[in-house]
Amino acid sequence: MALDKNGIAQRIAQELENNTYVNLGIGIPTLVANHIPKNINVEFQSENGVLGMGPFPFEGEEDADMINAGKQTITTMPGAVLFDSATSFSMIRGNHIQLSVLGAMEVAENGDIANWKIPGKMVKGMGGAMDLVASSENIIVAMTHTNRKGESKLLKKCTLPITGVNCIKKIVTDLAVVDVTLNGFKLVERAPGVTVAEIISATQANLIVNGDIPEMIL
Amino acid sequence: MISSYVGENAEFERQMLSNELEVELIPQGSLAERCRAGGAGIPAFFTPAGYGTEVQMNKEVRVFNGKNHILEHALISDFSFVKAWKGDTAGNLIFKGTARNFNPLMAMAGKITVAEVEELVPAGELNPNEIHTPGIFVQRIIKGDAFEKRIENRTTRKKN
Repeated sequence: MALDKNGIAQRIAQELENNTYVNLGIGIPTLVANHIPKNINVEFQSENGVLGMGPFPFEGEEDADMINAGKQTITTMPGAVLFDSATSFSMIRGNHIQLSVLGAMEVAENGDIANWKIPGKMVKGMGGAMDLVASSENIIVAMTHTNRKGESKLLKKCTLPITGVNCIKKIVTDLAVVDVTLNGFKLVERAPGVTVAEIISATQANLIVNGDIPEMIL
Repeated sequence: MISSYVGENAEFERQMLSNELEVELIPQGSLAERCRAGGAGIPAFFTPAGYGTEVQMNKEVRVFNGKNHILEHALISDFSFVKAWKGDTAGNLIFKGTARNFNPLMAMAGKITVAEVEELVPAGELNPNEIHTPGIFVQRIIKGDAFEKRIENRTTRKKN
């Protein structure tokens, strides 16, 4: 069965490495913070100016001056620090953040990503996404495998305006874990109960499938 | 209007899509650095953000350390309007929480920077160790009357 949003977040959380700084984008990526494995210590950065972001506040304790990049009310962890946007993006461009997780509308088999604009329809702005994808060492995309019309979001080539080129390393969807390699998309894991054939038929791009593909362990 | 992220502002999105408002959207880090550069006397800089996208259009591209970068120019404004938590009569400012974000950079970029503060104290009362924006970047300061702080995306958890 296809994973729900929390399932995708839970699988991505397994990619977190101990003692690293991580930036989580808006949407499914934000949920990753709810699934940090035990014995793993990570610090979350939000590009609007906080490192050491904590969980949502208790009801009644929200502070309008303490929000994340998605404008959600947040708290801070012990040891957290606040800073201006130039310092924040110095952390990002300067490669001090080890992992970025972000959502996408399309990913191409060469690692291009589109997630900021649907011409004539949706224009919210790219925010920090272009800075993040241009500079992060490791970028994982969290998204559904297909869009609302049932069309594949893993494409030979992006059709929407792109956010960055050759930058995505891994994609976790409701159906599969896919690595972006020099040869294109490589199927690494299946969601529980989902077949390789189902994944191939939901994928417009070529998919490299070598041998048996294991199920995700969640 | 130069902006990076307008979020859930439906009216802004409508004005932009109907061409009532001319908008240039640029990466958030580039916007921050362009303001900082403007205030810091750095006329332009190279950044990898936006390479290969429509942001790159008509901009010089150069390779540094094997990676493509695009030339971005500094931004200097005639007027900058910033909002701070505390300020003193010398124009020194302290921001609160994540509301600091662009404010110190916009203050630097302004030929005339107007700061609105929640609390205004005589010079000498703020601890110099704790000032975020030195008063040299602030030309006018006013104490606001009332502050309605709206939360766009109120997210909470329940106490167990």
